[in-house]
Amino acid sequence: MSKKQLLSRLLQIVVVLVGISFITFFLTYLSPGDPVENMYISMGQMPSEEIVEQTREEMGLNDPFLTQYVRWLGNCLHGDFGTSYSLRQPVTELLLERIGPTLRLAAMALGMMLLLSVPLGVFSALYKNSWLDYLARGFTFAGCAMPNFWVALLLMLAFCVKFTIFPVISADGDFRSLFLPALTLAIAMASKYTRQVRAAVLEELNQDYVIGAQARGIKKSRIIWGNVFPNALLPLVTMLGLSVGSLLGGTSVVEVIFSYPGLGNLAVSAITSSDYNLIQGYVLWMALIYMVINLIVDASYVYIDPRMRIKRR
Amino acid sequence: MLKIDHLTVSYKNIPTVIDFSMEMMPGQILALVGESGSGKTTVIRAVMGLLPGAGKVTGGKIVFNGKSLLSYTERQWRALRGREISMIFQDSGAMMNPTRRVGNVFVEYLRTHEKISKKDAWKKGSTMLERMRLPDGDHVMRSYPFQLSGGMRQRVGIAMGMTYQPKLLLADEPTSALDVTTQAQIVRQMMELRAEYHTGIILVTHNIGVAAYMADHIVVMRNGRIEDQGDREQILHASRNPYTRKLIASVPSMGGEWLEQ
Amino acid sequence: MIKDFLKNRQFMIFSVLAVLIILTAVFAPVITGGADPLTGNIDHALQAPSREHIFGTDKMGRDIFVRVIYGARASLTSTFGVVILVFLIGTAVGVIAGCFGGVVDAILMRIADMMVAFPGLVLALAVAGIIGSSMRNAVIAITVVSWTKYARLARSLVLKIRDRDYVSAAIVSGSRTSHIIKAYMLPNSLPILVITAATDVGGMMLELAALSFLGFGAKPPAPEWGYMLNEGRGLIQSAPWMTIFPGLAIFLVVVVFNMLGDSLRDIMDPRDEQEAGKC
Repeated sequence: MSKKQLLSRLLQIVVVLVGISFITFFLTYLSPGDPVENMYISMGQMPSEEIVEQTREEMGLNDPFLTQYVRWLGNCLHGDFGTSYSLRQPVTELLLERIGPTLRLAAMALGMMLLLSVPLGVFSALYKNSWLDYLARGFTFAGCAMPNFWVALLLMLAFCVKFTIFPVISADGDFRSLFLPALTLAIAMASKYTRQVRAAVLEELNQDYVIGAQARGIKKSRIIWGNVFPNALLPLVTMLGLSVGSLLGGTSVVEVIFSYPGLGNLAVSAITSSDYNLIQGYVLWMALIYMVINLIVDASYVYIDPRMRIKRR
Repeated sequence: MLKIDHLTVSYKNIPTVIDFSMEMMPGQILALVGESGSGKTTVIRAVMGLLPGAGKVTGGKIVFNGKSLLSYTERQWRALRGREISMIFQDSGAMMNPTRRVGNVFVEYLRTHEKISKKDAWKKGSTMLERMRLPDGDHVMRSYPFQLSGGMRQRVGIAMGMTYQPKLLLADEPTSALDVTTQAQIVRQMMELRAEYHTGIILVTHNIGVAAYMADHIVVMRNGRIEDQGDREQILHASRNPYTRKLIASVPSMGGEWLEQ
Repeated sequence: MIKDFLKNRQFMIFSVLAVLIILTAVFAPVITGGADPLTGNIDHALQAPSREHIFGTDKMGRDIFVRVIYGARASLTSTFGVVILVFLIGTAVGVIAGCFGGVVDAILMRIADMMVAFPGLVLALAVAGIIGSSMRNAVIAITVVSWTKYARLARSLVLKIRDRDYVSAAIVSGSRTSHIIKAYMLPNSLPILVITAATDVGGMMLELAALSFLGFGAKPPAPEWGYMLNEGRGLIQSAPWMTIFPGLAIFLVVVVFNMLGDSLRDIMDPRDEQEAGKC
């Protein structure tokens, strides 16, 4: 990726972040719940009208919208996303605490997904229309149509209740507690990826170079594992980048079910308790992480595929 | 050396090559000419055992050096391909994995057919390329196929195909994607190869000019059948077949003036 | 065209099933014999499936079967609501952006970029959470994050069509913009947009169910599959039937609509070799 492209991508990230910050701030501004009252309620107090009004004034909630927005944005730039009303802890601190477990969960889910979908996709392409292919296609179709929270509940039912292999609650974040949430996420993603891998392998198998290699007497296994397979995986890199993003968002449902102490769980409780500072901070951070990951993926793709790399020179 | 006897090839029970017979001697150049869809490529793909898709030999025999190829196992085929019979294509560059360097493709090929270290294979490939008049062999080895010009790619293809001095070279429209000047160079080079190594060549082309210049024997195909065949002079100047005459008449200038450039 | 529909076995089977599902929702009271999905007999709470309650009962003693049947109403109306809204808004915006270009286009497409650069469910959660949780707001939240896909698609289709010779000719010869949109743009871009919408039905249903499951959609005591799963979650050990049947309902309905969308794509756009709808 050239310097110019990199700069324009970075600029794009800034623009998108400002846009998203504006939208989330605007939405919270419009929202019906009153943050001050919520704050007191969460502290278990029922303050009088005057105290609420006073607090509003102190927190600058009576200023015009744009003033509030600019002040808030300025603070954000300094890394200050305010304090969570419900947990009474700085938002940045809370997010940093939770991001580790979520990334661990996402990484484990991605790993399990690849372990499932790559072999399944490759073999269903190589043995097209065999029983294995039909099995794989059945799996992808079912995986697409099952809500992941239902999958999670069924897994819990099977592994925790019937066989008690894994803990129902994954609060401590060790391997055993990571396993089921990660598997849940992996199943949904794997159905998508199996399909992609299968299609990519089939496409590569149709390329002229496969005939060329056969005409040179190259062994079939060598053609498949040395050429077709690595080429088919190339487009997956971009997809993986996008998946990390949807994983960060998609983990929330699963985290809630397994009481996993990650970002998604935090976000849901923030939303339930109208903890606007926390919601805003969460949304902005997610957007930032998501876009940075995409940037890295796009940049690395250029290095992986020589066709892209050399065209740029 | 190669004898094809009443060969019939079908795709899903629809025959695309019907009752095709021919025989060729070592060092002979034979041209298969005809319009696209006449089945000429199918014939040489059948000789290679590489019929695309659902293609199947449904009748006849292919005998190479006294052995019937159709009874070959996959392993026997592999030993044959790239060693005793080589194939070059319209764009040999497209027949190489685009994400790998020419050198890696070459090394992979050499190490399939002989026990040789990667380093020696690389050197051997580079030498072969230079023998095909590619200036800086090592540079070509380090390039990706798409970085080379059409003519260079074709030379790479020929260099690979000729590494083991095969007895038979199958050339599928080897000059059709090239400009006229490069065409002439490639054609001359193939003629030299024949002279040097006594390699027999089956040239598949719709370009009567190229066939007329190179071939000793010409087979005209139409709708999967042999329409006419004979040695070069006879086909070019004395054929009574109206289709052959029409084909020849459609070429603006015979006699290979374009080769003079 | 109609022959193609009748000849496609997949389409015939799944459109019949889809109609059955819709009829189930419409005639829910008939099917359940007039049982009330909202109130139950607390004495019958948490009963396992039996002849009397084939799917069992929940902790309020309500019959799960009755609630699952009634749940089709909420799921179908909200899903179709989302799909139609997203389709209309996205198409309108995309066609406008594509036809007029310039500043309008730039702004709309930057907004669309912004949406793409963001995990959808997170934003939907935030929107649903901020505007308050109800089924209607869940529909709005999903619409807010999904319309851009259609806008982009409609825009790219319009741009492609605009470059065709006969359309250029119409533009050059001074046809009115409204006429060009009506005569060329819509008829040529609608089929692909409709196919996309059809294949999206299942996905939208899952997202809505996820919002409800997290408590940002349907409110109790409404019978809604996502929310029923939420209620069953805490009782997974003692009353797994509360979880199994609503989930199965979602699964089956999504499968039917995915298959239907798939076959529609096959019929209307056979060139497109892309495989069945994305997750």
